[in-house]
Amino acid sequence: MSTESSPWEDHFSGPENQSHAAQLGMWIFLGSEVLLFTNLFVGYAVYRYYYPDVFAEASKHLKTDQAMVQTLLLVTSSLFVALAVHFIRRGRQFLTAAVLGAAIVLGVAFLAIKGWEYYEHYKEGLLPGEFFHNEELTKQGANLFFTLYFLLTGLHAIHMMVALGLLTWLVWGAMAGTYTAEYHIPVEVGGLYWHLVDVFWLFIFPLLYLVE
Amino acid sequence: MAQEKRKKSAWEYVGVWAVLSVLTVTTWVLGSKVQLGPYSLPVAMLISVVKTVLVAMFFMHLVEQPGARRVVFPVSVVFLALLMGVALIDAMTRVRMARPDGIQDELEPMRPASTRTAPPGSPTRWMGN
Repeated sequence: MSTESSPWEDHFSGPENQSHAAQLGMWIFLGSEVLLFTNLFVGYAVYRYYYPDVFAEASKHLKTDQAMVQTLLLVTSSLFVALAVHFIRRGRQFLTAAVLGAAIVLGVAFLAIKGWEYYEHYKEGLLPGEFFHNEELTKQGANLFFTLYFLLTGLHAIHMMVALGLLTWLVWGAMAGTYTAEYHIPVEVGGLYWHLVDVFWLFIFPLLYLVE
Repeated sequence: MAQEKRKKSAWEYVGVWAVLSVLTVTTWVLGSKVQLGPYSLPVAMLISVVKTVLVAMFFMHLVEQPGARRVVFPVSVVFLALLMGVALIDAMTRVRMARPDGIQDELEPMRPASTRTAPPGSPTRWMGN
């Protein structure tokens, strides 16, 4: 059944197997992503244990209200990506492209807020390492908080950009009619990646912005 | 696929999204307005875990996955817990070392007193007496 243009590969002995293999591979990759972020979360946990008061004080310099809006943006974009999978399973190609486009718009809005936040931190002298020169936060540990803040949110933002590129590619494929009710492995697998990036933010938000 | 014979409505996803949004606003209100003090971290983490379970189960369709695919993600969480748990146990149970010449000052860690390990036998010490 495999021809030049068919997405189905013969060596999987059936579409079912090909879909299972692709999804298992994606889940293993997502597991490795969890372990990548684990390193930063563990570093955060240990230093928050060492400097609980300083972390609470440093956290007050972050834009908590805007971060709540960012969380809502990501959760809503996750809904749209879940709907994209829902629609492509029924072969609705145009609706799939439309909801993926909506998810991309929300993702870009998220990154725009993030960029504005970074600029505000730059003006307040909150950049990590030797660039840290905030007058209110002089205690040891504040610098560390912002190092972890920039590492966590920065790594997350890089993942967002990769995921946005992935979604753009999926929109293009959906518009070109590559994905159908039978074959839509990239939509399912790309959606998983987007949701995982959302899940990381669900933890970054309370850990960095809501420290008491 | 076989699992899709049971027709799912798009409104199920909207319902999950509504719960996620309510939980997001709840976290924000509890964290920035109500201020739960010592309970803030456990409560915030509990809400995050509930949200993650919702996203993983319904948006990521973990609930309809068979076999090995269902196991991978929870296993990665187990490893996260192991790494974080052991690292924190290490940080929380570091003992004050002794020097034969009796000089104590240089052994004091340069961090807030609240996080220093109390000497063995003191009432605030909960481990390693």
